[in-house]
Amino acid sequence: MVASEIIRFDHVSKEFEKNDKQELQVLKDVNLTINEGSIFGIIGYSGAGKSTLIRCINGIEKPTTGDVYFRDTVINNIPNKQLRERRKEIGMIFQQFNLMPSRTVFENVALPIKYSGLAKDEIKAKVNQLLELVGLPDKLDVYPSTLSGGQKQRVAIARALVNDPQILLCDEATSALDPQTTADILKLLKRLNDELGITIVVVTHEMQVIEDLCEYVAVLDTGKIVEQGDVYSMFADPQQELTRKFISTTSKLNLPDEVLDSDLLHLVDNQLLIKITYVNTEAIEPLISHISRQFEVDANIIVGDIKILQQKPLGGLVIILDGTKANIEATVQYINDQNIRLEVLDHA
Amino acid sequence: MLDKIFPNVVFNFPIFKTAIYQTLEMLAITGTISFIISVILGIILVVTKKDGILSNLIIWNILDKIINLFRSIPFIILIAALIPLTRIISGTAIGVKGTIFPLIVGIVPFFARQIESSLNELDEGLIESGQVMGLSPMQIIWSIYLKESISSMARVTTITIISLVGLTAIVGVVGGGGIGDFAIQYGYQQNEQDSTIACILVLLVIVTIVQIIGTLISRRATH
Ligand SMILES: Nc1ncnc2c1ncn2[C@@H]1O[C@H](COP(=O)(O)OP(=O)(O)O)[C@@H](O)[C@H]1O
Ligand SMILES: [Mg+2]
Repeated sequence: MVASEIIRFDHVSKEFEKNDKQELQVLKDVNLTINEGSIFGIIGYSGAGKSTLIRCINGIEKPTTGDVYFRDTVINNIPNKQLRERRKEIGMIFQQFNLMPSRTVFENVALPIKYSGLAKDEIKAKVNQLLELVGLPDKLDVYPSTLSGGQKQRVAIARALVNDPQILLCDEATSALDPQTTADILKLLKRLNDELGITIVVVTHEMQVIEDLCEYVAVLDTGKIVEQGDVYSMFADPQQELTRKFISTTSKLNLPDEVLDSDLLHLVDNQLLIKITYVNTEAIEPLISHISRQFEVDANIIVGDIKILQQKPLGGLVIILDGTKANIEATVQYINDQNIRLEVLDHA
Repeated sequence: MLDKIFPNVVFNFPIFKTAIYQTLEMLAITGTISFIISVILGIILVVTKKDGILSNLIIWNILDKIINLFRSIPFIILIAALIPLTRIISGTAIGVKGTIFPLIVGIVPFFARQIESSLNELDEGLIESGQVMGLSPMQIIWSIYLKESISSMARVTTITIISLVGLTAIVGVVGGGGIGDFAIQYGYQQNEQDSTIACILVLLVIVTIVQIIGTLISRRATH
């Protein structure tokens, strides 16, 4: 099946007028294509323009230049009434949940279809079915203030789905939640993607969210997309410094600076500390023994990790190579030739 | 016993009763009308402001300036200034009928500001989530702005009605009737201490009842 595009950013830039009449450029020539049924992540630091970017998709923000397509519709260029109709096809959830405090869970979920002309019992059936789907079937009549953060986000998800949207936008949807609850909500989002085929767009500053949930990712650096691609390739071979920084936040292969600085590893002259990242996890053991045999270099594994990304394993090792200078150089060359990503962390 | 403590009030009891009734009438009529007008003005201010859901800075500016203008005029001067207009609108400038118009003009600017700040207190995120749901501006006003600020609007309405009680007493000075009028005529001009005290007690009761009702509504609307 050829994936068809559902959202496209075409040279989108956005400026805000600051108080002193200066323009603040928040998005700079953003180009993105999001395919139907995919889970697309956008990662960036706070203030990078993530919220502005995702809000362009449902027309809450309008680009200063460029266009945002929702299928064939230029979303930034349609009359308000039409825009409101299209918004019903695009659900959204937020970091702060944004539930209506004076409405019960049932009324919150029903709010988007309150004026839809649906009969009372149809609305009831729909809301019940959604609360079942998000795992809160028994909270119909309570007020949001009595719910936990994770439960609030589930209600918000049910509310965002009540119009049967094609897309779900998540703006830092798990940033206010603890790690366990975050994992549960990400699991739920993944399930919704599987079961409903809904396209999900998430913006976040947490690489863990990208790692656990997304198939595609774009890295946003002060309004500019500096790198984008499928999550597996990006983890396997990041091109940009910022991307590497984000990846290192979820990696178990980071030696703390103290370890490197304090010489705890006692590297001596003929030793080299390297990190390798590899795709073919089955070939790594043979590789290590091959190195020892062919180059007479000892490989002492300090840390090792395997991540499963998009159902594919991605391995990583931190190793001390021990041997003569020439042999170590030959080893590094050999590893590079195997299409294995190698970083030199330290030498004596 | 009562005729010992409040001899003059008991003597003038039918007039006193009428005065109470007039005050309640003024409060009920002006309270209701100015509530409606103020809610409408408060909403217009909030939706037309910069980044409002129907942002329109021209309307916002005009309204903002007019409200400030009227708020800066002391009520007693406002009553005098409005007399010609009051005559046209109410047919008379005296009696309860003559007080309604100046009372409304006197209280609405304050009331509208109170409602405005109530609505502005609302979490921006709630409005945004209404927008992303595809609700229309009218639906957002009704289902979010108004619905979610019932509690705080009850609070500011209480404050406003209590101020309004004060204004109804002031209009008494210019022959508007009501408890203020009674206090001036009997308590002040004829130096009947007990009449003044009786007026204070009645006002105290009115204010307390308004306060209790306001708190009840506000509490009921908080979840
Ligand atoms: N309505 C606005 N007016 C002016 N500046 C804004 C507005 N919205 C966002 N900004 C600015 O744009 C930048 C990016 O904001 P945002 O998109 O919220 O970033 P992020 O979600 O990545 O933290 C910030 O510097 C922010 O102050
Ligand atoms: Mg943000």
